Amino acid sequence: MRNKLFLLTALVLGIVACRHTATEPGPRAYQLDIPSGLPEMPVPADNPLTEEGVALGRKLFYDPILSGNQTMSCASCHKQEFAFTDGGKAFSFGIDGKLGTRNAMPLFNLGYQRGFFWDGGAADIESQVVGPIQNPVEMHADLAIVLGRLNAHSEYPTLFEKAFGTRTISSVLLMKAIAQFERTIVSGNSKWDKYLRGEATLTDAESRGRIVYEDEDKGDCTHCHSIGSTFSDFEYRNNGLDSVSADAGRALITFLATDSGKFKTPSLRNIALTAPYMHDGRFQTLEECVEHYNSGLQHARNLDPSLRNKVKNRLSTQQKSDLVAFLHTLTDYELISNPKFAKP
Amino acid sequence: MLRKLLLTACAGAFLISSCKKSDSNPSPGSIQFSISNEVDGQPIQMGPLNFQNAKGNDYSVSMLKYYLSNFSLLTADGTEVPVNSSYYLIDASLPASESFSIADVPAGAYTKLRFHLGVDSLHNHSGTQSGALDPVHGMIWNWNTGYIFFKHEGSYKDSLGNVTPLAFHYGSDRGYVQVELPLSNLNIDGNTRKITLGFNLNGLYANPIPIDFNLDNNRTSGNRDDVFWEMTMRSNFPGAFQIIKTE
Repeated sequence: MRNKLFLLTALVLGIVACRHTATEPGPRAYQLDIPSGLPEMPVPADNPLTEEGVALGRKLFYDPILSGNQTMSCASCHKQEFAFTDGGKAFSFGIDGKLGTRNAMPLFNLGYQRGFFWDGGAADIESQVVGPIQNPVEMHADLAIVLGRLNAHSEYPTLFEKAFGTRTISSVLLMKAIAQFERTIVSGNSKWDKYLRGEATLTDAESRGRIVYEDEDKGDCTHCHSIGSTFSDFEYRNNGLDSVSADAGRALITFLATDSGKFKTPSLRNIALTAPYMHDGRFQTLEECVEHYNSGLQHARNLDPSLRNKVKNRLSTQQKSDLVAFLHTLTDYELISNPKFAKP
Repeated sequence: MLRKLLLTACAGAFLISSCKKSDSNPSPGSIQFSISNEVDGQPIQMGPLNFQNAKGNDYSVSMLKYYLSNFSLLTADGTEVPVNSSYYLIDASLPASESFSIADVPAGAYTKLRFHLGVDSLHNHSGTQSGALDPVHGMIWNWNTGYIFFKHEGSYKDSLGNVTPLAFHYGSDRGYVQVELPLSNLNIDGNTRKITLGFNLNGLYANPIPIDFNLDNNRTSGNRDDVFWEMTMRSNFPGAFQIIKTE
């Protein structure tokens, strides 16, 4: 009898064990779709992309629960149709109606970047997440209150359990989830990319513009916005907007006077969608940006070496419009229409 | 038979371990820290304009929070013995945060206590940390991945007699401050010692460079205009701490 009982128990235990592994597969790996022309994206070992984590991050990205008075989400200032910028605004309003001091940055190909915000103040995507949530001129929330709301929510504890194996929502997991979603926003299907793959042809103006872009005596854009890949080196540079910058830029982070007025080189991908331009949104059009580099460079003491001694007015009217035509080929319409990045 | 063998083995093991204990090697102990936040000996009461700094400014405290980290002890010959690499967020409104215990302090006779105000650069540039460094404690910057090492918020009476907000937010790699305090022979040998560590807010605002709230009242590390204030705070922090007693 005892032996029989023992066998039975073992059998039951065996079944339970099998069931256990069958019903809890854990989060599934998310396959990043990197278009040809972009490199492999580095993903931190302690925050691998998972289907459940990405889906959770996307829900959080669009959820106003993260702001102080629950009226604004990340997407309020990072709108998909404008390559995740704030649609024509130089500065964005926060929940209290206060204006920020810098232009909302586009969100795509973030996994290739090293520092976040215009001055690189945020060390990684995860750490960046809590900045806007707490900033008084942005979402102005107390993180402890936000975590309280999430932990008391009818869905979030279950979603965090699926993504991270725990129902207890911490700031670290909140940061990880949103960072996972943000890493999946990849842009590499512009007309330019399709042209390289033999799927599209450039117009004459676009082809001429590409030559101006690379010509060292003309556009000379490639020192900072190397052609192809991410269209930026993501370094910090003073691009001669002002002889003395009102915004200390990178120097706010490094405390080095030599970094004064330096800002992160933005990607030129989707640039036609992200007006206005520069850290303070001072230029409304791409034509104004091109004109700045053609004739408007100011001699800041730490003006970037590649912008020193530039011949003024070296671009003809034709060359300027060709250059702008080329910049328009960098727009990725799949980025702004992809339902994977839209509000769930 | 098996039982006998086991028993013998146990007894043997016991003997060996007890032998070890009875030899003359001193064993590690622990230190209980009690932090006394005060203004010239008065305990900090949150709210009223009860305090006056060296410059004669009346002021109050509605929030006082700061990080202490990387504790070590020094022997008479200057050898540094690290005792703990934890981070402690001291909050003058939370008594539980004002006492903590450090275990496994190596045995020895110590003459100095060393610790730091703030978070070292190795841990100052990631937001994805937990415990005392969890961003939930409201001690991280919004625009820069890193920690606010010290916060004093409250109000002061300005030169016209108006009660005006006071807010000091301090913290950056260059503002990580080492504090070293003399100990009157702290002997650790398997025992628990208690150190009462005092933090005097008025010391911070007086020595060696006095801070006048009429000039400095809303200061933040990282702001270009606040650099002088930041350097003043850095030079004043070490003198604001003292060992009140060792038991």
